[in-house]
Amino acid sequence: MSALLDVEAVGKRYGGQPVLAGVDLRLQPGEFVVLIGGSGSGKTTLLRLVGGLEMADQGVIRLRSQVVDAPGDGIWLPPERRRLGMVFQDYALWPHMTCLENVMAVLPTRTPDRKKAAMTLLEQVGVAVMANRRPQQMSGGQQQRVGIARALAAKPDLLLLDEPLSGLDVDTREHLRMQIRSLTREYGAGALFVSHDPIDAWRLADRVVVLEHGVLTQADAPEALYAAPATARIARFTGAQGGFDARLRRQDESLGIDLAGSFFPATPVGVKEGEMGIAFVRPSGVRLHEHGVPADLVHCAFEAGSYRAYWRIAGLDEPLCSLEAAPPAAPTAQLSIDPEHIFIYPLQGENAYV
Amino acid sequence: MSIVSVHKARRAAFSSLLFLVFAGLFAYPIARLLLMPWIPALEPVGGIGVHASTIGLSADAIVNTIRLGLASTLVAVPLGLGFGWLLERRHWRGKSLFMLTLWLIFLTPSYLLTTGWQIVFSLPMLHHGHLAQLFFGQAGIIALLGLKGLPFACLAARGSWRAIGTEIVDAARIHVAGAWQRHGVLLRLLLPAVGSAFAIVFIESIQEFGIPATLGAQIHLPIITYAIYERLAMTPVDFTHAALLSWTLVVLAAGAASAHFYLGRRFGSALVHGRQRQSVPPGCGRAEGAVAGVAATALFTFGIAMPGAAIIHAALWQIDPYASVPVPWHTLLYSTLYASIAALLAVSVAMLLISGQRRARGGMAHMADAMTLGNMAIPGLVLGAAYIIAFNDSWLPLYGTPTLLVIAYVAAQVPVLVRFLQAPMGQVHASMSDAARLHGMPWVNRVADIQAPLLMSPFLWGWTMAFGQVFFELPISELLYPAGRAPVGVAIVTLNQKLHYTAEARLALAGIALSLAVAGFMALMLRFAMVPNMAKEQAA
Repeated sequence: MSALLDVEAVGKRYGGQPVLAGVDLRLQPGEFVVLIGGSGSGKTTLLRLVGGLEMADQGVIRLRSQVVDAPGDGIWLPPERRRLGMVFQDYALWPHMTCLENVMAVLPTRTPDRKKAAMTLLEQVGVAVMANRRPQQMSGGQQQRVGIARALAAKPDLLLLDEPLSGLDVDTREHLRMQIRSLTREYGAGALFVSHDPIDAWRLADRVVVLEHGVLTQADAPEALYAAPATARIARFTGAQGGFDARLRRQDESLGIDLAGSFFPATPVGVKEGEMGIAFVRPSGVRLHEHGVPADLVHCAFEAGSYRAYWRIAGLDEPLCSLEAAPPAAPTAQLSIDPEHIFIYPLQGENAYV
Repeated sequence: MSIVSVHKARRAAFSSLLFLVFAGLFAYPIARLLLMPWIPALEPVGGIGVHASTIGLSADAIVNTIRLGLASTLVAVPLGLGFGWLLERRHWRGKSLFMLTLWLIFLTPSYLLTTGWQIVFSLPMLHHGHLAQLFFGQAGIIALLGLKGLPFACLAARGSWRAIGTEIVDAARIHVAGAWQRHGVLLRLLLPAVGSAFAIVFIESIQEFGIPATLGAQIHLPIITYAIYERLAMTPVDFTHAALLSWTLVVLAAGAASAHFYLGRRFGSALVHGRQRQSVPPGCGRAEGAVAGVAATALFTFGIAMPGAAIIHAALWQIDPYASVPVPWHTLLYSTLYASIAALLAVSVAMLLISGQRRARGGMAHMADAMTLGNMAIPGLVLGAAYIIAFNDSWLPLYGTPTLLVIAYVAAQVPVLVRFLQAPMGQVHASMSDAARLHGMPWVNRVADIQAPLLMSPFLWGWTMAFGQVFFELPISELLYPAGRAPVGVAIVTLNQKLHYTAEARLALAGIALSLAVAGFMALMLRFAMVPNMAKEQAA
């Protein structure tokens, strides 16, 4: 099956500074890809390159197998000819038009009964009763719903979403998240969703793509990303904590690290046996165990149905966390860690945890 | 040619055009004027050279300018800080009237305010009194410069009070026990505000031309701006000393601006903080209310009402000491024409610059910044002087033509408009145009349905503002007006210098009425222009 979007070795510089370097990304029809990265990682730039709002400096971008941006061959298709829909972080609704007019303005000219079509879209996103209001008379969440309706009005097969939920409260965010997912599925549209919120990746993505300093570091299904985070940042993104120095060594055919004098099997990523690295531990892998390493309870906090306990272990600068069904009964305990929840990354290089 | 090449070529052509505008309107004329004292070959035909000058540089004008500038700044800045605090931190009934008065003082040409007070003190009951003696002296000039500087001082102070934020003051109240220590903390926070207000008012005062050309000329007090004018308007024309005096003005302004930037850098970090919570200002206490009420009434009375009433009185009743002269009504027509065309061009250039600045990183953004900052150091009179010199050659014989006058008006208005239109245009986010493109709107629809309605409001607002400023403009008009086609500002000041107050007042009132009518018409246009085209389709 040919890809809906194919980004090949794309690079972009601003004022001599590289923002994106050699990015490769493929998106299949109907696929929902969440593009994750920190501030300045280049995720919005990549989205704007796909949209045609910026021009790439290197590489090739293809939409529906058609080359739309190839600086080497002097090809660049302007955004209005790429047949896309986009939801903006700042909504970008046209303030001099009502919600209905905002949607009608985007509907293809040959659409029969455009007003009815626009109303249907507004009904689908739940703001039909506000059709005649102007954007400034609505809340942020309501405006973003209109933004989604407008993006769908263009009948795109690829929807670009630039942090569409970032300015909204938790309830609205959750509601809209599900609405975006169900609507894209209903319309059969693929989606490239830019976010810095891990929850968006877990709840929306068919595939998660991670950008770090302009370089694509991992592109996997959420399960694969969780099982094998490729970098320290991605490990943090999956909930791992820490960032403490450790040496990778072998014991009884297992590779692992020493914590407070005890050996723990670990998952090495780019670290060789005998090398120093930086280790991260996910709370879901930390358990109370009679043969574990001794730890002192520092603090325990109730967190949405479970208890997050903070343990201090001799020799570690940062506490380890465990998730418990009830508050720990004693101030001291012994902890074990599941090997698939300990990761060790190189101290230097692109995987260095900053 | 490929699509990328066409796109890049279009952008390069646009940048080059803007660069040419910048070079032609600012860089070339200003550089030629300022380099002339050291490169005599740059002097145009008709100059007398530095050695043949009879009146020279006029040290008196320089000393007077600095003294009057400092004195008026010392009058305006403390008042501005106090009024700024009242406007930003307190809620009171006369606030709207006060703001209106400040706007009126800002918009009213200084020579009209001066004329109003000249008429007041020419009345028989006041003419020989102690107050009149003060007014027809340096005190009068200081008071008028201070009055014109007050809106700038208030604006700068108000912005700084807002930046300090109530939470910083609250933090000082909670954590700093001693009253003197607390006041010390807050005063240190205010230093950038004081510096900024001081620099802006001082620069405005030394660059002022209307007051020196009317009251200054009447009492024969040499001031730099009028001295530059004299060297260029009288025969033989002394370009070199006009250039040297321009240098003085530029250096003084640059010095004040540097002090302002130094204070901002040295102490401004105190104002850097995270989120700022906007709180509703509390009402005034009894004493504060009384002070605010008296201040608003006094400013309205002395700033607008009395000079305004005097002009109306002079227009209705013949008060001239000499025989009446006919009113040069035709100057209204010339000013309307010049102002309409210049405002249209200036707004268009300013909006192009702003949109270029918002999209471009680097060159174009720096150019727009340089233009707006340059306006602080280069007053209209110096720009006019530069144009006389730059466009007075056989290969650029524009001097004395309406074209050059309009170009100079445009050059003077563009930096101001860039500053004023940045905020309203900033509300039209770039993403709104991006959204239109990305959702496949054709170019014609994007322009007609999205960009034009969104930009219409700042365009009409900017045009109206530029029209009003150009209509009554004085320094550039005095230096560059074509013979026999003087604009209204020149006619008013000529009548003022000959003490024909009645004709002057009638012309001024007619000019104000005409400007207001144009502003009203534009406001009406704005209402009609804002009806969205899409509404018609929806109704259908």
